[in-house]
Amino acid sequence: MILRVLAGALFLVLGNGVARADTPTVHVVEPRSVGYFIGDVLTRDADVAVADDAKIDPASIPRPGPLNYWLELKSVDVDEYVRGVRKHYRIRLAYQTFYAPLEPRKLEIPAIRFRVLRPERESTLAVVPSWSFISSPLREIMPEKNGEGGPAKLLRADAPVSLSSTTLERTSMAIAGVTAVVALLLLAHHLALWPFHRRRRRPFTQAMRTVRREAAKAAQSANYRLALLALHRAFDEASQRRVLAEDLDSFLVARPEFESLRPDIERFFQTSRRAFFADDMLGSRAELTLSDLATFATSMSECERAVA
Amino acid sequence: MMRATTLSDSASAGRTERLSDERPRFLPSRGIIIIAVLAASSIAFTYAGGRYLEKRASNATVRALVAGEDVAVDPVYASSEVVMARLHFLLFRDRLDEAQSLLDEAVPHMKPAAQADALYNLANARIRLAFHAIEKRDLDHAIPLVRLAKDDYRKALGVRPENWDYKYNLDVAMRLVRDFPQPDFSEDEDAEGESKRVWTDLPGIPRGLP
Repeated sequence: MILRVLAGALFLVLGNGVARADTPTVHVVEPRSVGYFIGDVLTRDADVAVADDAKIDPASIPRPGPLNYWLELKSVDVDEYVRGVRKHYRIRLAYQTFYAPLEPRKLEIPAIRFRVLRPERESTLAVVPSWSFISSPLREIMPEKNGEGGPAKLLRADAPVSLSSTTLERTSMAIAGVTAVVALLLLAHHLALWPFHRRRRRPFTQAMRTVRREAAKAAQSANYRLALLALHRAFDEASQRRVLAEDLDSFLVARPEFESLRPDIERFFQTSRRAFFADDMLGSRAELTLSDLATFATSMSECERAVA
Repeated sequence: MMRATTLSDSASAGRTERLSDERPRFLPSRGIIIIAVLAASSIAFTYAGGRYLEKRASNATVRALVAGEDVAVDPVYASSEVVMARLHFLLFRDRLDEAQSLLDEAVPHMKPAAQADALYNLANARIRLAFHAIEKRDLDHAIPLVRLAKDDYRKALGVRPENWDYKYNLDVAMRLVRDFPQPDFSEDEDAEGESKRVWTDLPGIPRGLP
């Protein structure tokens, strides 16, 4: 019995709550109510809370445009969000007044009725009430007469004719131009072009080109010989004197950038000795092929360029 | 120059160390980076240069118009400044019909602030003409001018509600021809009714006030 009463009471309380959640509530944040001139914009923020399954009929949301001869609805922004069990609509109404009063005058913005639709129920109304504000005159009633110029003097001056500013364009041109010139110089430096063409010569780069050219041709012992010679000349030129296998250490002391390639260089000299002094061109070609030579020349050239 | 060389030196010292091991292939080489920077800055330079020449040409047109040369202006492609200058040229010579058709085409392509200024200047020209008409007691001519001007002032204020000059001049126009709750100025009214209403519309002529 007691349980049943309690359940009934609970039902009442809950039912009441549900009933309250049913009716839409409207809360409006109004702007100041005084001190408006012709052309001013007034913004009213209405918060309409409805049941979570209800929605405002989009057709009942007013469209921007003139409401009467002095008032214009400039914009209507509707935002939807859910808080608790109710759905809220945040509606921002921006009005613009074009009333030109001769003395401070109370003006009224008409009410807005939003139709709230709910599935399987009758639609209800959420009313944003009408609201009044004081509009003030902008000018004195009888302007001073200042003889010259006639009544056209009453007007404010026209908006001036102006020139477009080119500062932004000129600044970006300067920045881009300087960057381009610096990049061009860096590129010239990188490729050893003018004005950097007097940099240290690159014998291994030239040798690499020769070796690659020979490697691209049909395999002949003459090619191989030429490739070996090209590399030898590069070594000679790089150290400014003739380099043989025995001079390798002093060469690497003078040009330490090639130290990392020491095993390759040693192998090259061994092969070369076998080719030229033991006259075993075929055997050395089997040991260190033309493409191996090309790879070797390429890494020598890279080392050389990395330092230059 | 010196700086560039030192930079590349230090960068390549790092590379020499790496060369013996696996060299990271995904890093673009220095040459590619330089070429990319060169290409990007050249494109930026060309673009900015093009914009600069465009603006310089438009400024030359503005100067010519202000100096009084009758330079034709493309309402769609001309910059806002050029349209304003052309408008100034036309309004100064009371060529209001041409000014109106210029703005009809040009306004949608103009910057918002310039749109409002252009409408405001056109409206000012109309009010000045209306003042002349009122002085000559030619009210049939004056009232439509004021009404058109008021529309343009309102449009201008719609774009820039904070502009006090617009407000001020709209107020002037409002006192010349006041708005009424039921404006019913359809064109099919007979001439007699028209002239009667003209008088009721015009409560005060500024000069006639004590």
